[in-house]
Amino acid sequence: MIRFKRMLQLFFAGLLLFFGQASSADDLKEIQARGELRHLGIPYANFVTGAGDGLDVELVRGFASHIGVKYRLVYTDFYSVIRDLLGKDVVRKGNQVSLSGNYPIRGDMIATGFTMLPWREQVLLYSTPTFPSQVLLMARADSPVRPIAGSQNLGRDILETKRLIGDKTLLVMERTCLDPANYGLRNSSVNLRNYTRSTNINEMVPALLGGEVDYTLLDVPDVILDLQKWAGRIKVIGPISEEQNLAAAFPKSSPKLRDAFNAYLVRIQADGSYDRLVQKYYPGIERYFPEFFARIKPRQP
Amino acid sequence: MKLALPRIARHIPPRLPVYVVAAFVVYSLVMLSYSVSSWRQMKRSADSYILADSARRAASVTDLSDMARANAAVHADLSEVHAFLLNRDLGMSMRYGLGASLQAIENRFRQHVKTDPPALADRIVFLAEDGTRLVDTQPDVPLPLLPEATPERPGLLVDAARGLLVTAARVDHKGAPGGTVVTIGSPRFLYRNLITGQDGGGSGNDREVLITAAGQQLANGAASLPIVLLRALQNVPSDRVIRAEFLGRTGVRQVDLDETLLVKTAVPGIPLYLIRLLPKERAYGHITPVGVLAAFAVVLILLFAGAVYLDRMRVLAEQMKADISASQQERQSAEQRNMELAAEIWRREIVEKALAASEERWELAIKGANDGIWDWNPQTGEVHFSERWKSMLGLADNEIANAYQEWESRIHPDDFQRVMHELSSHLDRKTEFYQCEYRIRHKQGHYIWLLDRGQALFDAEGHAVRMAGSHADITERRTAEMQAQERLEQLHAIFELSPDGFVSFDIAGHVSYVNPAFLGMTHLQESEVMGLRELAFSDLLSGLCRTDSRFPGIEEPGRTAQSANRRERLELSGAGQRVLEVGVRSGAGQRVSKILYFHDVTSESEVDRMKSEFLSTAAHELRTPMASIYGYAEVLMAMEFEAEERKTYLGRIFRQAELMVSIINELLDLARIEARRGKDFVFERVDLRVLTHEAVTGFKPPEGRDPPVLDLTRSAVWVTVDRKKMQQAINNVLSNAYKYSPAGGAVEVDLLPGRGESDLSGVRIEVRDFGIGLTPAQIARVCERFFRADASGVIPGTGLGMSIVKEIMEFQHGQVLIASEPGAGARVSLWLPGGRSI
Repeated sequence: MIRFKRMLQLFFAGLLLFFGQASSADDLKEIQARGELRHLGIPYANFVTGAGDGLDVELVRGFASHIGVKYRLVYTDFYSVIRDLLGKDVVRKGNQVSLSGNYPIRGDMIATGFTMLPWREQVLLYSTPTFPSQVLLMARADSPVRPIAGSQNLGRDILETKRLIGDKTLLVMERTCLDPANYGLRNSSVNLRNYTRSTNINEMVPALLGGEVDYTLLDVPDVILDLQKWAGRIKVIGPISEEQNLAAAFPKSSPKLRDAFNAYLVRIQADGSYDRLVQKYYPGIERYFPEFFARIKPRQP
Repeated sequence: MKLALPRIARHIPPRLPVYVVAAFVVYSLVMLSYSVSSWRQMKRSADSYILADSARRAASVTDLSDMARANAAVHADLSEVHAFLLNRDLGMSMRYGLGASLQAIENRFRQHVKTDPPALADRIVFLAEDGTRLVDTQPDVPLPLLPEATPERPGLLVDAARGLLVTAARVDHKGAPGGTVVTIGSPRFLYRNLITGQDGGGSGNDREVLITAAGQQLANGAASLPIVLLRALQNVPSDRVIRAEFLGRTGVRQVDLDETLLVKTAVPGIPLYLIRLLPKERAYGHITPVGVLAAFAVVLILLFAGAVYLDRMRVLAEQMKADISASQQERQSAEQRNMELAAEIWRREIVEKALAASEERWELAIKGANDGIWDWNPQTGEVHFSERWKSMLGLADNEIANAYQEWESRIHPDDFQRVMHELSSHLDRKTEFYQCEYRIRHKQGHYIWLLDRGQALFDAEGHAVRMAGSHADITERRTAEMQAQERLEQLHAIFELSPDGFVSFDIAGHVSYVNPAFLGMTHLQESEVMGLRELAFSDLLSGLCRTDSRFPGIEEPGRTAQSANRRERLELSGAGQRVLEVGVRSGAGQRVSKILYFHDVTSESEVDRMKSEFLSTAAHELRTPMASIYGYAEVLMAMEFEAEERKTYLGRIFRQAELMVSIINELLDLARIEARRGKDFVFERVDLRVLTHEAVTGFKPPEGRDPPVLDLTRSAVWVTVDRKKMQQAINNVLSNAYKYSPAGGAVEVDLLPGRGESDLSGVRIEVRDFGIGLTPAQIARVCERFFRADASGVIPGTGLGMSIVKEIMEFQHGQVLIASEPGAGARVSLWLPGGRSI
């Protein structure tokens, strides 16, 4: 019986493998054969603005052109984006990640200010980083909490910031870069409030200003925009995370596509196209992450 | 009506149009003066407009500067700036929040840099209150000098040297200073409303520039004005319209400023000046140029001049009309004369035919005479030379042109004036015919003699219209004449210069010629002799002869052949008692019948007489001692005497012989001196003092007499003499001095300066004795040969000594001077010329 169960398991495993192969994303050759690159994008900050443009939209459009295929933007959200890429749903248990279910594959790559997180790397192939980021703690301007002074020690600044949260309510968005699990906040005293009304991170600050919570997490690209948008009404308390990298994500079955993207990225970083896109959508980001952009400065002719 | 108008016109003064034009010109000039006045007013108005416009444009620069200030204030009031300040107030750290705010400011600044008007804010800087540069769109560029700003008014600074327009605005954050926003642009912004000369339109002399008080131009993207011009602009007064070409006088020549106006206007509120260059045409183009007015004035003057000219032409036309009328009358008169002339021509043709026949006959006659013919038109200078005329000169027919100069140029230069004189005399009608003999050059270069004869035809006014004549070759005749003349002149010269006298008689027996020698011999005048018949001449000549001599007459000598060479001797009583030999010859020609020849033989007669006298004297002088010798010798031979007595007789014979020898020697000396005429004299330059001393000391005085007393205190006296002859002369004089002082007494010799008979200065050797002396008659003859002052014969001597002295002194150009009185001795001086003392 055990052997039967064992054999049955192997059968189903093979069947899964078969169907899995059948439902896996296409690699470069297939995409080129198909003639179209499907870009999975989430309206988020200026990466995918929702208006048909954004830093990642232009990046992938250029890549499609680079490999000689048409470009198509497929909108998704942070909860569905990996499932739409892999055709599997992602199940996290602590640091363990598993795939489950079968879903239609809607895209060939993710590029949407997608943070490179360890658990994601278990099921995805990341390109070389395309953008830097960091998660900050935000409060209303009238909050009695005073921002940290900041130091040269990021770890200490993170601890100091986390300590200021106390038991105040903190607005987070799970399965995104603002997932508290990513920053050790889930099992703390922090009163987490998961934002579920939308998957759009841009709505986090209005919720904060609405008095729904005391704090909210926000990544740097959004902070840059919102500090101007809500100047004098919000303030940055301090960092919650280390500096993070955003990158394009590919199925594990698409290494050549990833490699092609990396090559494309190297090329546009070298010829200055990438820099122009950054200046277009995130002017001033270099002042925040000078080291990152120093590494990808275009080659001088 | 038709008739009335001409009548009215006749009453209009002829010069009325001129007066009308003059009135119009005066009226127009008055109007023109008003126009010039208006032109001046319009020009002043235009200048006022230019100045106002420049002030307005300068004010627009101020507006732009205010705009720059306002722009800086806008940047200082940006929401991003206030957001930063708010976030800073919220205590956000620079690393985790403020950086984003600053980035937002920078983004906004960069956006403004792109969107702001060009050159307004090329660079925007946000400075903290402490001056820390928080945001800078050009962080790598140092900050320029910033203007002072107040919370109420942003500051503005123009940095012309660096081409910067800097504004600074204080940030007011909730009533407190929040820092400073600085915008840095370009002064080009201030040119937005100006004409810059290139992009802003305009040309080189149509533009506006801004300069600082120091003369620096604010760059505007166009070509800058030359530095020399900018320097010159510093001294240009403000708010005046200036003709820019005046700046050319300051040495600004890089810019074409002709026909350009310049206005300098201070920009209100900022230390700048607006320099406006604009073409004069634009400013004053709407004003009628004063040149046009001047041209109009010139036109008026020309109009007036034209009216005067037309009036003048009218007067001339009237004169011309009168002239034409007179001309028509003359034409009618001329037609009448033409008819008369035609009749005259017909008459002349008949005459010319007759003349042609006459000329033909004349040609034949001339050919027969072998003369050359010439026919000259004095008015044209054309001459026709006949073939014979040309052949006389060795010329072929085609070798000479028919021109007056051909003849004139060949006339001998020595004859030219004479020929021209003759020709002019005839052409001036002073002579009836022209005739002249002259030489003309032959083709071969030599000259031939011509007899040129001609006659001129004169018109009614006395002008020669034609002259014709002939040439005859008279070379042979002229040659013969010249030879005869030459011979005649030679004979004339011979007769004139001959020392012999000649008197010729013509065929009628009248004196036809006497030469000067005859007149000199006879002391007759030519007028006394010329034309006398032979007999009268004989009587005249006989009257001149001594009574014992007579003129034998003219007929007698030539009657026979034997008497042809016979000469008669005449002795004239007067005229120096000349002795003449007279010969006569019959004339060989047809014009001279006889020629008398007179030869003066006075000297020969005198010589003959002197020779005879000398021989007589010499013979007498020699005969005296010879008679003594002969007598004593005869006595000694015939008789016997004692020895003593015989010795005495022999002694007498010896002394007489010695005397004869002396006479003979002195005669020989004298003869030698005369014969050789001084050729044997050996002249040398000697000291006369030494010579005299030698002669005196060498002289041997007679026995019992003291030697001569010599006084030679003078210095050396140099003369040129024959030393020996001079010593001989001194010896002779000393000898006489002793002889003629038989009673004794000293004989003194002295050397003295003195003058000769010709008053020449010289030196003389004076010998003084104190003997018997000489009478004046004796002095006059003392130098004659054989003359002796002692007629008694007591004093020995030959009578030749002083003759020798005289000959010696004369051949040495000296003289013998004698001063004496009977019984008082004598002073004989031998004078020589020169005698320069040293």
